Amino acid sequence: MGHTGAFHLPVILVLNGDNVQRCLDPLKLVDAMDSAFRQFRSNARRCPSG
Amino acid sequence: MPVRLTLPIASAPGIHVVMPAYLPDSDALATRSSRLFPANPSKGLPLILGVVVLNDATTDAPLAFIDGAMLTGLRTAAASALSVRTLAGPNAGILTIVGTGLQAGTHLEAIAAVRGLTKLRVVGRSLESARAFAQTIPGDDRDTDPRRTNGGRSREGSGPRRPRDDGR
Repeated sequence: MGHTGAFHLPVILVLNGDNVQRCLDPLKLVDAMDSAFRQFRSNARRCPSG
Repeated sequence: MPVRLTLPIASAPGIHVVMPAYLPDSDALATRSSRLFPANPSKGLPLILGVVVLNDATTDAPLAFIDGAMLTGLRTAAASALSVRTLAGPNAGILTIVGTGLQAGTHLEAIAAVRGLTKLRVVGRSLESARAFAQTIPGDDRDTDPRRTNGGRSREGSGPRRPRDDGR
């Protein structure tokens, strides 16, 4: 039997564009980005400037 | 997350872009690999194709292959919608979208989620593309008169689109 490498694994999730659109809610994405930006800004404030 | 790697492909012509990231909360590695080939639309293909690969950060086992074009479309639109929610006036209800491709649709969906839209204006390179995009939009009052704007074509369609209830 040949070596199948990564594709020997039992499950690899494959999402096409329609799947992605159904899985991701636009408003939740906006909230997630809002949270990420606030966290980035908070971290930047704690870092000493150059 | 390092700066993205950009590799010009002279023969296409096009650009090969790779963006790796480590996601500690998910204990996963993500690699967005995409290409931007300007000639693609003339071949009936999206301008940007790509895939996001997720790998287990402890074993490297691949976990998922995700369509990159739609993911990029949704992510970019979310950033735009966040700027609208943060910066636009609370009563702003007229949205103008420049472009009629995948990102036009994701932007409409995302911005409609944060603002109650009363009117939508679409500007495309051709009347045909603007018309085709407008036909995909649900609405009860569609103005079909084209008007030239900055060398392109604009198209108006109106119909109330209310923001989603986000519980706030």
